[in-house]
Amino acid sequence: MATDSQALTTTTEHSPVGGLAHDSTGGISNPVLGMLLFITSEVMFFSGLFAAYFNVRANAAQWPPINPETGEQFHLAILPFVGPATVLLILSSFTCQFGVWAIRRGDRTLFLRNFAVTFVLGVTFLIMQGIDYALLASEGITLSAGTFGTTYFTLTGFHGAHVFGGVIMLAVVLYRGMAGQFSPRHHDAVEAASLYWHFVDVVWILLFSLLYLLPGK
Amino acid sequence: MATTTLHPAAPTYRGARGTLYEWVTTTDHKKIGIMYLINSFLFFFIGGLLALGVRLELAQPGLQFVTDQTYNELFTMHATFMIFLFIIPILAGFGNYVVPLQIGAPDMAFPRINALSLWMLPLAGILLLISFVTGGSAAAGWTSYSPLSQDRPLAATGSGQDLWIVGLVLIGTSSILGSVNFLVTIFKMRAPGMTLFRMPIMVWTVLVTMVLVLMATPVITSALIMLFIDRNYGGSFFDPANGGDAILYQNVFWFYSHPAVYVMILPAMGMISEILPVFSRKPLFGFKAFIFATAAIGALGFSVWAHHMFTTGAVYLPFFSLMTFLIAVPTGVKMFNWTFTLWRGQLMLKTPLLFALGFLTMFLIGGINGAFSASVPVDFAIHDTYWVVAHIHYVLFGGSVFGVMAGFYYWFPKMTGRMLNETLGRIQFVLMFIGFNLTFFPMHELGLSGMPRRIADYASNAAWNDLNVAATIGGFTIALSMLPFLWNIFVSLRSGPVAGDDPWEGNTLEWATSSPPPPYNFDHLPEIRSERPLFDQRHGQAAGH
Amino acid sequence: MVHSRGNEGAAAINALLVGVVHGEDGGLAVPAGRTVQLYLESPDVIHAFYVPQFLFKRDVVPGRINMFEFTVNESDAGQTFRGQCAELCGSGHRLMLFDVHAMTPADFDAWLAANIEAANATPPPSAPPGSGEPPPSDGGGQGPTLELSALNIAFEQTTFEVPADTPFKIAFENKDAGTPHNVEIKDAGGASLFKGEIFSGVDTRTYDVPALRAGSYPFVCTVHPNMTGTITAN
Repeated sequence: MATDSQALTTTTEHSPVGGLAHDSTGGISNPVLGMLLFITSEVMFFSGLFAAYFNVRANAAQWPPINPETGEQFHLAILPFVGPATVLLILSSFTCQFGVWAIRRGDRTLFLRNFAVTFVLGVTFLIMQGIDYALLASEGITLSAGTFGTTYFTLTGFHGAHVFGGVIMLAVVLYRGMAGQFSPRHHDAVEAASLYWHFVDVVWILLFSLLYLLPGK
Repeated sequence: MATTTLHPAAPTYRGARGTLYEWVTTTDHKKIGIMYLINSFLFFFIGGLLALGVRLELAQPGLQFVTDQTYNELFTMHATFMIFLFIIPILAGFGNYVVPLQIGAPDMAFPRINALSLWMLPLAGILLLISFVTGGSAAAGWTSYSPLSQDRPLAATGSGQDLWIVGLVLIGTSSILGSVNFLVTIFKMRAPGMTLFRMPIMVWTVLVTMVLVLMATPVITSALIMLFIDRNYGGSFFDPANGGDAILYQNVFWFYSHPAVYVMILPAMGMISEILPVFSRKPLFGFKAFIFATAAIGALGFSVWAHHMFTTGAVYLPFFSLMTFLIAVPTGVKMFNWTFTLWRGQLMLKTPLLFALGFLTMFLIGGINGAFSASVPVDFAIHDTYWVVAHIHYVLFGGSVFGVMAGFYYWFPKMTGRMLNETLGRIQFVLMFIGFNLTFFPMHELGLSGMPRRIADYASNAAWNDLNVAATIGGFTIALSMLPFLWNIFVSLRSGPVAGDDPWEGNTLEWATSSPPPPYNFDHLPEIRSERPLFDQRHGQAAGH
Repeated sequence: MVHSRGNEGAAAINALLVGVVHGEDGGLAVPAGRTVQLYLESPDVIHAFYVPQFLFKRDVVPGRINMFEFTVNESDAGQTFRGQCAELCGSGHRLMLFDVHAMTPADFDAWLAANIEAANATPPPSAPPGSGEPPPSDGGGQGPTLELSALNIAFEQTTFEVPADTPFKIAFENKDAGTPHNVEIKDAGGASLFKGEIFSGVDTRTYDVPALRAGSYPFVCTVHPNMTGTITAN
């Protein structure tokens, strides 16, 4: 029951004006919440693409459809590139998380090492995917190869673009880490980048299962 | 009208005016909000000119001024500019200015991303404008249905449709980044004492709007990208000739575009919900019910998209019809809340309230004629006719634009420190109200008598002449109403009466600081014990929510 | 494309009205009092079959066949209902008009029988192109072969000159894949003097056009009336 509102007025010393970077409510930090929300929007983006894929698949009389160049059904090879690349990407999520745990504990060296490995694994994934793309193109599977090629390359292509974005993020985090900008109390960017990297991995597991493992009709 | 004394330790500031360089490089949500408003009004005028082109051609039977292809470009770009570069950004702009102030925060959570979101908009606008001179703009309607938009061999035979796609992807990205910003700001940066249920309704409507933006906009991004791939890389998503599905495009498109209409109206409803209590001198009736109704509209908004596709033969009609009728329920709750806020209030008939009353009456009409369309058999008759044009403009102009005008007159004093002129405001309101109804009310009859949308011309024996002439006169009256509006801004900025902190005796925190506020917004924050902290401060007793 | 099947199920009915056209020839003939099934197919973009007085429309979607049934009241026999495309389909959208003629069942049966007979009749003999033997004509000798092509829903050549009173040919190349075009020649008053076969691209057909008196004649594509040109006979 305040009658003297002046006395209870928040002064500048205690107001949230004091520090934009500090949370007034505690708990999850602004950058991490922001990244989670951004990932939500990316999930919706991929949902649109997945919806198109399922629709196209359901409408097709046969899946995979017949490749006009070979007269047989389109076939995607898991070996020698895509399967190993998948293993590497999953591995990279582990190294990424080890790095996060390390910096939370204050072990900068282990954090940097794990993130460096994650970065290298990410780049390797991209290279292997690129080589696989070239092989597919030589077999006549391109963006313009009917519904099969269009959906395959659009889905995996945008995933690859997101991996590329993630690789950039990891590089920035590595750079800032080597410059000593992270500590157990202050490493929001590391947390955010790791969340994004796990998201990219989960999308790939889903994509791989749907595109390579799901039986045709 | 108390004025704030600055804390002695506060750095002096030169006020809201700064150099051009300051404005271009700023990350201050207030300047960014104002620039959102400027950019949006610019595209409002451009979109309005395109509409005048449409109305000019349709006034008389016979093609007098433009070719069919040009006419298709006119209405396509009219809708595109109005939706994506006017109404959605201007509501985000008001949110940008008002939300941090109303929650007692010093700025948005990510000020630099805020600036990025802003500047993507004029860039996208330029791309869209360029398309007029590089072989013709997009001309397949703002809905851009495939295969017409595939350009094989119909539709725009230039880069217009591709520029359109790129422009919209840029705008969508700007929106998504903005939504992340708003959500983190609202969840994490409220002043002490401001629980979620003590947030102003404006903040609540922005919150729900931004959830819709976050979840729905990426879906249209995916549709646009798939269309781009079809058009330019031999893709087969939406092209039946290659095994694609034309209906798929519509489903993905409308999955976004239906929630988008709630993005286009909810913040305007929030503004009305701020203005009605202040100008009725009464609290908002049913504050909590209003919040739940807003959330319900947001959620239900995701379940109705296929009511735009009833005539395709590819939709499960009963479900979508039912959900569409259901949305009328929370909307009706809001109408009651607003009406009972006014009931037995002490009305201050200033311009913000005039526009708010215009909103209530016109949005009511728009809601009712929309309810007709929710019925499948009725929709079979009136889909793609001028009935729908009437509906969309009653909710978007009668609703959103009147809401924007109300909000503009309400918050202009806070943004600039000057009051807008009441007489000019009334003249604008009367001209706009009359012009608007003259333009769009006849379209109900035009639609019922069978006039389809998107036709450049009509038969002289169809008995549609007179109604079209009336609509054209109305359109030019709306244009006329912009003159007192612009003059009002010009005159008031130079020599309008000084506003002071709280010219309207408002309830919410933005009125607890100077007009315009200092860069860091607040020197002192009042105690927050309810959704009306300033009212409590004035009258001493907290309502104890 | 609109195919209608009366409930007799006769496949011959598919032969009548294919294509939604404008003009005095165009229109859908239906028997009043009987249920008509309409099958809607599109070779190009999405259109919509809309008859305001029916309070009904249905989209015509490429890659999909939409079907609906309707029955015109017997008391409305003899009436013509105006129809119009109600889904933006390009620069010809406002011109995509049609009529639905409701006939009494007896009139409809007679009309249908006459159409079937005409479709089954043997066409009169005519000289095949390039045979060297000129067909009978008022002027002297065989007329020229006009080279005409259509691309992107437009004629690529829009003015021609032919000798008056001489039959001539039009070698018409339809370059729009999957899109039906033709050439229809009208007189100054809009009456149709010659209507070539509608066919889908990419393809070429040669039309034999009867002699034209001296004067100026507009030609259009029956399916896309915004495609126009002029033939001048001297």
